[in-house]
Amino acid sequence: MSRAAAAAGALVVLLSTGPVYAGLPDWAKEIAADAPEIPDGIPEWRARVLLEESHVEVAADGASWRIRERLALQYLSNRVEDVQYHLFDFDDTIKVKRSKGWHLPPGERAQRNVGGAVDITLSDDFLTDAKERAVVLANVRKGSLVFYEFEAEGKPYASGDVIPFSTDEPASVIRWSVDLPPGWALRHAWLRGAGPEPVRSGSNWAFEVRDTVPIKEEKLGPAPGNTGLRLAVGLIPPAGTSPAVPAFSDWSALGRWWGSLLEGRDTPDDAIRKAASAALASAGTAPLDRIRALAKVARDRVRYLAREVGIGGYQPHPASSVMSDLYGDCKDKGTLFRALLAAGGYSSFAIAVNATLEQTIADDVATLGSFNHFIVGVAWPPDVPPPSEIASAIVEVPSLGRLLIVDVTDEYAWPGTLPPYLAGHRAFVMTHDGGTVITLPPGNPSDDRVVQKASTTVEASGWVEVKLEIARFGAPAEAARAERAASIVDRRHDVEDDVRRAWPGANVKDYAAVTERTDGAYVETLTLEIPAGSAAIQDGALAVFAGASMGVQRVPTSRRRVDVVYETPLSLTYDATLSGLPAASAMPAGQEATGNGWRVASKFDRSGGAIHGVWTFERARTRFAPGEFPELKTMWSAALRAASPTIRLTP
Amino acid sequence: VNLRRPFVLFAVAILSAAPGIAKSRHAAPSTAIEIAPGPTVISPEEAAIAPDPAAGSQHGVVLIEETERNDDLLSGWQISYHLRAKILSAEGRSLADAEIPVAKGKAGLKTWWGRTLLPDGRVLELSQDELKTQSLVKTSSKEVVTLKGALPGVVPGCVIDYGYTIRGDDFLAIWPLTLQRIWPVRLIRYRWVPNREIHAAFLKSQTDGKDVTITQGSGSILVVARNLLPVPEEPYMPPIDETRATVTLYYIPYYVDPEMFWRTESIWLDKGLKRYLGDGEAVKKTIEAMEIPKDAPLRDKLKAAYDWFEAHMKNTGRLSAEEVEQGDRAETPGDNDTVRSVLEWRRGNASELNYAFAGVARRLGADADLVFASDRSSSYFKPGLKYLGQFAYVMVALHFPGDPKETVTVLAAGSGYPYGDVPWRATGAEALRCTSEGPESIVIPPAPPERSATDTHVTISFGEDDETMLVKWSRTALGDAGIGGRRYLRQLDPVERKKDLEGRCRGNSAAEVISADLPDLDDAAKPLRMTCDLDTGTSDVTPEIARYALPLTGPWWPETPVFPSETRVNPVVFEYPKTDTVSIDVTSPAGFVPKGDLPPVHADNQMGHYALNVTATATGYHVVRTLTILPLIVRPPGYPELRRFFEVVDRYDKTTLPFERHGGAP
Repeated sequence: MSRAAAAAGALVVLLSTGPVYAGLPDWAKEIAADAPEIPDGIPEWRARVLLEESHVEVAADGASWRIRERLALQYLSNRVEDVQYHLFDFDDTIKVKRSKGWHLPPGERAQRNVGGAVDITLSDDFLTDAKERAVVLANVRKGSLVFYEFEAEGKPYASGDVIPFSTDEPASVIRWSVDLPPGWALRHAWLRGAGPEPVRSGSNWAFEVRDTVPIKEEKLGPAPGNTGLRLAVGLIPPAGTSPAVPAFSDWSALGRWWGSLLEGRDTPDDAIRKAASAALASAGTAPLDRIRALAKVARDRVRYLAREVGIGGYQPHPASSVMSDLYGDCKDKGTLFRALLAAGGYSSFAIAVNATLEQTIADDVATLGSFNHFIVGVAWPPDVPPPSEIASAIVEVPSLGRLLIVDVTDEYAWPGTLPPYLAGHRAFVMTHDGGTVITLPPGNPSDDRVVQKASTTVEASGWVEVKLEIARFGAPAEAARAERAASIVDRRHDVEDDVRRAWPGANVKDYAAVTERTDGAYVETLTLEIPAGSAAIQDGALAVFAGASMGVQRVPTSRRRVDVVYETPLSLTYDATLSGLPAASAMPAGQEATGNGWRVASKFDRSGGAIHGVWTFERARTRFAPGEFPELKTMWSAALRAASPTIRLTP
Repeated sequence: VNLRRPFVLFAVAILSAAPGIAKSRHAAPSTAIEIAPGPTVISPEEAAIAPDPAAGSQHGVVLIEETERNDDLLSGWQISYHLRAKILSAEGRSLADAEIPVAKGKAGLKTWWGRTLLPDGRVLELSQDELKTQSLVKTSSKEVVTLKGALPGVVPGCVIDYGYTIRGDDFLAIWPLTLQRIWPVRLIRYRWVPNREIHAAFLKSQTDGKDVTITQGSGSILVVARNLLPVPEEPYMPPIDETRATVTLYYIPYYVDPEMFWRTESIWLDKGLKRYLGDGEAVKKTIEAMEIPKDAPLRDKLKAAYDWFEAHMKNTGRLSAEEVEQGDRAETPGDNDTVRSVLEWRRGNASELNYAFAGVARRLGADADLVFASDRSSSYFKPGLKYLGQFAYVMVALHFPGDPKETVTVLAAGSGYPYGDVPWRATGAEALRCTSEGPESIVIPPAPPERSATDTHVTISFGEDDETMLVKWSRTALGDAGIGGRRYLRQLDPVERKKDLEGRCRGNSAAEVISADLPDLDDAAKPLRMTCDLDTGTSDVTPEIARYALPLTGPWWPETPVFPSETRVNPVVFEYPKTDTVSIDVTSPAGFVPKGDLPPVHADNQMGHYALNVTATATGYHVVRTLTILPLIVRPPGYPELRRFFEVVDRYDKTTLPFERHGGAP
């Protein structure tokens, strides 16, 4: 049975019972009494959060937390599903004690949630202990007030967390509070902006944010998950005490705890040493060649399999078992890579990072909640200057020297380039005595680039042949490799469709691809045949940089209110040579334009009967705020104009 | 409407023909199979299998998949399963992530084996003890789990071999055994022993010309399929489940004689209609309200009644966002068991409206029957499958006295379609007509292309210094070309609707939408109309060029099929025959003049009609392009002709309008 089918079945079971009338709890009554009026007309948001509250009560020894979550929602639209539910996330460290829901329809008595407790596993991980407790309410409509309350007891692995202060709908109040045991302290830091100061009352700390409005997803817009305040909190026991659960006074403490979980896991056994030896036997002598050869063993031979159960969420399996099983998650693959490096004579460091969310790490508050991914920092030999091609994957760490950042979980990333989802993220390097927070390089256009060479020959018959080579590096290469890995046939179709859009009427005569060239490029070569009279050469003119503008992503901006955000910086180079032209063919004039964080240029020269042109577009920035949209439009316009010249094929 | 056959997508079957599974104990062919672990060595033939992406084997090949399902036990069922596969790529390794559907945990697992056969001859085992339990759903009284195990050491080139026997007790009434998968399959064997107390049957589909055999034994069947390739995904292909070789296994409700299934259900549905219509008083009152002239011909009366329904009866499945927001609900108040509340409140869902219209038609003197049709964009009605859950549409078939028996008019009351037209998803494939005498198979033809037409008007000019292109365009869409879009747009709230409309206006471009409107969105009597005013923000007109070529196409261009592939495996299936007309008036860029008329283009054959006329005017160009697509389905033998036609369309649609600088070079 699929997870979706199981979840649907569970909801059907819940809905098979009718509503039960019940009084609201006092906290809900207060909210209901003060609930705002429902606005007339069609609302922009179908619901609003009146209260989202989490409260934690820490046991005297810090070993367990009593957790209480409350949620109050007001529905503003009739266009909502009449069955609504809320999910409480938990895992094997948390025991749900109570889960209830109430629905107060407009003008009616309150009803309790339908059915009993249902726990559903929604994660796609192969093995996981992550579950959701579902509470279901029926007959919800415009004007309905719904309330959910969960109580649970948790035994966390560590004292601290990162708490999101954002919701899917506008929220009146989002509150997180904690009751600490006597003598305990709380360390906190707001992420992604300045939040309000906490309100303290005895051992109670309360953080409250009011009147938030989430952003909506837009093309080339910020990811909603990367907006909204987050609060990092660390709970610190009195000095000199040994809490039952690790409490991290600083990042070094966290590093020591996590390091103890990694201890011995990266020890190479005979099989690992043999694999390392085999990989290095065919590698060059330069450190980069050797590190890449070892990375590819972990990247390519070990299939990704998520196993997030219990402490397994933090502790990798021994490298020896990963090598024999040839499967594992990011920690397993990274740890095997570290073992291979050790066997090859390189030292390395485990690095924790958040691969899906930005700004999750606070300098002053060490917490495990900041991370969801495991990568590796390879100690770069101090006596060897790193080649320029890996500059954006190198981090200089005080006391550790230069580290080459490698993510062997990403099967499509070329070791030595930083995948786009890591660029600019903060991360935590674990060392034998603790660790340190670093910032990963932001990336630059020379890493994420596309270099296109088109050699065009005009035949006497009027037909045109184009030999095309497109080499992608960095993020563009990753995307292409991933598509090809999924389906070689689909990738070829997509590329051929693009080419036919660039040269309307062209026939693709042949196609070939190299998935990973020795320089890490993903390379495709095509030969096109453009019959005389085809749309691409109507009126006797041919575009010099046909298709170049397709690489410049644009969006409408006149009514846009959110930033334009590109995944990575980007460099596009289009090198075109046209031969067989009439002697009288005029050579286009070159163009050049620059702006804040971008540059566009085209230049031409003539050699014998051939005209040679190069168009380049470089965008170093990834973000443009609405006030900078004129700059953005200038950049787009300059890029398209520089790419637009045509050359006459007939006198 | 004469029910012509050229549009039939799915071969018409005899309504009663569907093989049941014999329960006889008389001599019958053996269907016995033994499900056991495969060899622990890779055979030379297996070793020779290499990736062949063009044949669908980029990632792996299923060498053997065999299953035995025994429902004929004292309680519950037992399934034995065996999979042997060659892994060919890194992505293919996921086939080694085994999930065993033991609803109740390890107690349900009777046997297990799992191993990886490596190219170097080593064999790596995954023991039963290493399988992990994963909870899926847990309530206070029940937990549904699955067992999971990852075979170790899997690399491209290896063979995996695993299998198990499990017991369970839930009941499965119908399931499709899909024989063509996303990867090539060398051998599938599936033996089913149904519960002998229940009628069991099967239906094979898309198996012609494929190596698929079905052996009926005594109380069992064995399906064997060999050497099946994946069905390639192609543009304008039928729904994927209607292209793959499949055997549907199912039970028939105990209260129906399998041999009389459709006859029984048809008569039952017709009786249900009569019960729903009740004593006829509500219908009579409604007809009186229609004020149809008593002496009008029957056809005119029925058309008048249909038009009255469209104008006065609300389809609660087609409410706009504004109507829902004002408190309109999908439910009709009152007693839902009879037509009375639907007619009194003048509202109902599509089924209720069509049941009600059937009552009106009968009262007016027509021979009116219910028609049930599938949504052919997702699946076709298969008469050989004795299963009622195949239908998405309820409609009404009218037969007029004196007309040939096979000539009927099918109406979809409350659909928004004009009299005689029905939603395209219900056309072209078999449908079920339920008469008081029994079932009839009918095929509803699509509307002719002129009733599903779009008409697009475009004006193009250039902004100051020719730096930008300004485009105003509008489109009216009739019938199927507009009704689906109207329904969708009405369901969006104003903000979403505006965003959607602006997206339609600018297409894939980054043009700025200055204004966009849907002037007649809520007037179902008028065609759907949209108007757009765009600023492209850029143009290719630069001071240094002497000539300029403007493409005809842009966001205003109607979706036009393209068939780049020279070969075709699946039939080409269009949504509906249609005609798209585009007229464009271009004002020349400043300093440029049109070079002159272009030669007119005409292409006509049985696939369609195409015409392109480009004439130079005093201010620029006037363009008229018309494309009519005639067929609903083109089978592979007709593909070359279809492709040739659309190659012409594609070639001339890419025409550019040539301008030259007035007075020569700049």
